[in-house]
Amino acid sequence: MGKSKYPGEFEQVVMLALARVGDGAYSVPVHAEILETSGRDVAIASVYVTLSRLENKGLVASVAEPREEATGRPRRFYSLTAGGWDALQRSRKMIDSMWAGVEVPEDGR
Amino acid sequence: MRRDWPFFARVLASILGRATPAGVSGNLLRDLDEGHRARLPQGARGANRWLTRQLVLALSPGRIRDLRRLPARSLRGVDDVSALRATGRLLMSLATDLRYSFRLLARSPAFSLTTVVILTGGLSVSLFTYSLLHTMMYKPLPLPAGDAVVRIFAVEDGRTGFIEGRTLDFVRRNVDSFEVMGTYDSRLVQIRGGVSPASISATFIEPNMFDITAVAPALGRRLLSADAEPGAEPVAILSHHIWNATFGADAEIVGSQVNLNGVSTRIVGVMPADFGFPVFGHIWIPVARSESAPPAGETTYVAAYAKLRPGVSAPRADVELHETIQRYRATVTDPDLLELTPDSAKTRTFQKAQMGDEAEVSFAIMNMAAGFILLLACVNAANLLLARCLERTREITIRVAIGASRLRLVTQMMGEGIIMTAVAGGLTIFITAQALALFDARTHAALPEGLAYWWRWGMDAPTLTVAGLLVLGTALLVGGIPAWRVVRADTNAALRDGQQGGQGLATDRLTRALVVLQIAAISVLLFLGGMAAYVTYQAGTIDFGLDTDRVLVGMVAMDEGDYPTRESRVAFLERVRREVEASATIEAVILRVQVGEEGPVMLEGAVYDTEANQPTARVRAQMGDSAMLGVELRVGRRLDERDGLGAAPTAVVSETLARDLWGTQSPLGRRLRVGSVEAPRGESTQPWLTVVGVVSDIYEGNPLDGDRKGKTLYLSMAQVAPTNAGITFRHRGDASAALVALTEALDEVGPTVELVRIINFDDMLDQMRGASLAASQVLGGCFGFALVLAIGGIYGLTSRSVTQRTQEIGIRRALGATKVRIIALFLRGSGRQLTIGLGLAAAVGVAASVAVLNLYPELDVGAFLAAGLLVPTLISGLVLTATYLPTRRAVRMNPRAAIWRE
Repeated sequence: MGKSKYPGEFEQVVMLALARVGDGAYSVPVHAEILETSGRDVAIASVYVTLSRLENKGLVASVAEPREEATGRPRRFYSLTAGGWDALQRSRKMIDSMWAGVEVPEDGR
Repeated sequence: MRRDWPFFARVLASILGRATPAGVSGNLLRDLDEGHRARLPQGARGANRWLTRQLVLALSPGRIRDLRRLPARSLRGVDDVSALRATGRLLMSLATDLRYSFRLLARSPAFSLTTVVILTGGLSVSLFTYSLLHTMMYKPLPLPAGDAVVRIFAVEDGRTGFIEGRTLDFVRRNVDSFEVMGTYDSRLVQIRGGVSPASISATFIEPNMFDITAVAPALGRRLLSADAEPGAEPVAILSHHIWNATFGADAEIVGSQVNLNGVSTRIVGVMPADFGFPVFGHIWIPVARSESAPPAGETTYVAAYAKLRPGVSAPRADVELHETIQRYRATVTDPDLLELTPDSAKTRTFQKAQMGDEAEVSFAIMNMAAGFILLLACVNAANLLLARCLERTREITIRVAIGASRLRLVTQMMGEGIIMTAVAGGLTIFITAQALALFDARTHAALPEGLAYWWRWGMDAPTLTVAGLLVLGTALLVGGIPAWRVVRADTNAALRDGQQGGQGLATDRLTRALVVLQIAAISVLLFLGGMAAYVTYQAGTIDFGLDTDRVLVGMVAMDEGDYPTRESRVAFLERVRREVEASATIEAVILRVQVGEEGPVMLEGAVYDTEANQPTARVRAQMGDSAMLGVELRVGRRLDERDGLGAAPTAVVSETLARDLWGTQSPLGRRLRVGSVEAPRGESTQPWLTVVGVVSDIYEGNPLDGDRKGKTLYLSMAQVAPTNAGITFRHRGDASAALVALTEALDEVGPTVELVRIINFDDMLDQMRGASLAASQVLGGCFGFALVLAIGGIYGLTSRSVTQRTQEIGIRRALGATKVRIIALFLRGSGRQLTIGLGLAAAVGVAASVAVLNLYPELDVGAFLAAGLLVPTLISGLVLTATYLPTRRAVRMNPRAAIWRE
């Protein structure tokens, strides 16, 4: 799998937000979750592009559901796949093992 | 949908809609709309800002690439974006048209450059003139709430003037429109205690000046009302300039003592640089409010200023002033006092007070003149664009034929004009900003004192606004004329006959007539502009005929009350001269005064029926030997002690006057007197003067005046007994020691003598020259612009009229005419236009030259002749080149190609 074995930093952020939102997740609630939890006001377009990319990688899956309003187009809702959960855990494990034994000096250098 | 989005966001959204697949942009925009709506309850501004930021982020190059790659999974709901897509299409077609216009312009760089230069010239002249005059006349004072600070004038018989003290006192107590009111007076004072003694402009002002200007001193404290109380210690505040120039920016200046007109005064503060309230000044001395309201029996007239209360307009204050003065007049019973009381009073801005009421009219005229140059530039540029438009006739008709709308064609035709005007607008703002900064620097260098402090020229908000309006108007005019031509074009004829169908004989005749007119107008403009610049340059570099080395000039004045008789005044002036001459640091001294303006004189034995037939002379009285100024004796003797008060009245005349009055005959012993034959009986009792000598000429007066011819009649000051006199002296090398000696000598003569202003004679002449030189540079600059306009216009018109005849050239070639003959034929045609145009110009030019030379006889006739030859040569060269180059191009073409050329 090489490069795509570990998702990128922003991809992880989006996946975690997806996990936190749970059911009915799409770009707007994901964006809101990232803003609320991390304080980062990212571009919705980035969330949009990232969700699509993660879906291509098989880390998230989407279903289109018709909206309530008559004129609306179907809305695509996203959720993590098993592969997605795996990738998140792998990334976390890797980061944790890299951190093991590392101590930040007092003056932060 | 998205009606609540701000306009900018809608534009960005439409761009996004065009840039990405419909499904992608539709979904993304819907999500953004949701986010936007969720934020609206917290405030529309924040929500709009968030939305705009999101759209900008989505449109960043990397992200737009990603968005384009996304699979468009849904095309439903496209209706939502169809409106946006229509806007997007319009924007795209506009962008295409602009790109097309850019390509057209890039294909003919010479044309584009010429047009931009023409437009820049016209716009710059107009913008510069506007900004210059606006700053002088309308810009608010550079103070906090500067537009609320006004002057108050009395109105008497429709004329304005200073206001009588008691009236003002009543106004101060009863008028509610003003927050603060005060009075001031400007006089020159002698200051000692700095690096060198100096005569500086002092403002005697009420301490409430600080309430009006709201400007804090840079050093020390402000003036307090206690400073103006009777018996208070004399204090003063210095200007930044004097603090630097006279006190070497001494940081310890506050608290030190200086000598002002003999009074020991404590300096309590220094004002910031560029502060000059009310007009300009170098030292502020407090006066009490009571000084403007004199005790009974005395009268003072004061200069008053005020600050309008917030919310009160100047017209409303004027109404209240008028009503208050009417009430005051009703209370005045003393008929003498009523005589002094004004009919009314009104406010006026400081700027208008400085420039005078009539200045508004002349400013409007100057702006109109500049606007006319801009109009010429616009017509020139529009003409060039029209020519291109005609060249594209067939292209346009094909566009019409395949269904282009007129609107589309008009926007295409306007594109070029709009682009070039926009470029010219940018250049204009840059050039005008530079020109204003240069003008500001030069004016302040030439006149370090005497410029109102609000005259700081430079690029400012009103100038930028006007620049925008001018550019808009120009773009409409320059783009609009070709567009109008397109709308009116006969497309059928054009399709049938090509370019010829779009023009015809009438257009050709019109072009030729325009060339002739342009030649005439430009020649006159060039000649007159060159001469105006030359005249002012001459005036700026004139030789005054004086030896001014180490010479200082000043004024002494006495109080007439102290010296009521002629004898006492003459005795005083003689003492001044003796005391000053006795000083070891002063080499020579002469007192001079001008006795009235240049006026009529009459010779003994001559009979004049009207004043117009009388000779005129400038009359000066002097005491002392004018040899010190380099004035040479030609015949007879100079005026001296023999020409005292009781002696027979005598006079000395300048060479030119002697020649004027008596030709080659000797003037010695002849008699003349000052005065007009039309003067009422009793006034023409000036004594007969006997001429005792003739001296060399000196130029006097303003170098821009026609009257500098040195026709001077010198009288003995002892026989005139004036109350003031100019004092001109040569020091022995140390100017400051001489100044101290002079002041001491004058103290010796009497405490009532006032020494007003001492400056270096050379500096004075330099200032006069400096003003002329600045004027010549501005004139030269303006005519330089006009010249560029002219060259661009005339070249464009001439070469266009030749290019239009390319087909004719092809036919002539096909019929066997040689290249040389065709070129000669065309050059002859232009020669005819030149002859007519230059003939018209010569008539005007000669008349103008004669008038100018009459006014300034000392100007070099050779220069006029040279210009008279140079201008026609230049214009002829220009027109013939503009004919030759396109003709040569046309004759070099294959005749077949020329005939079929569009």
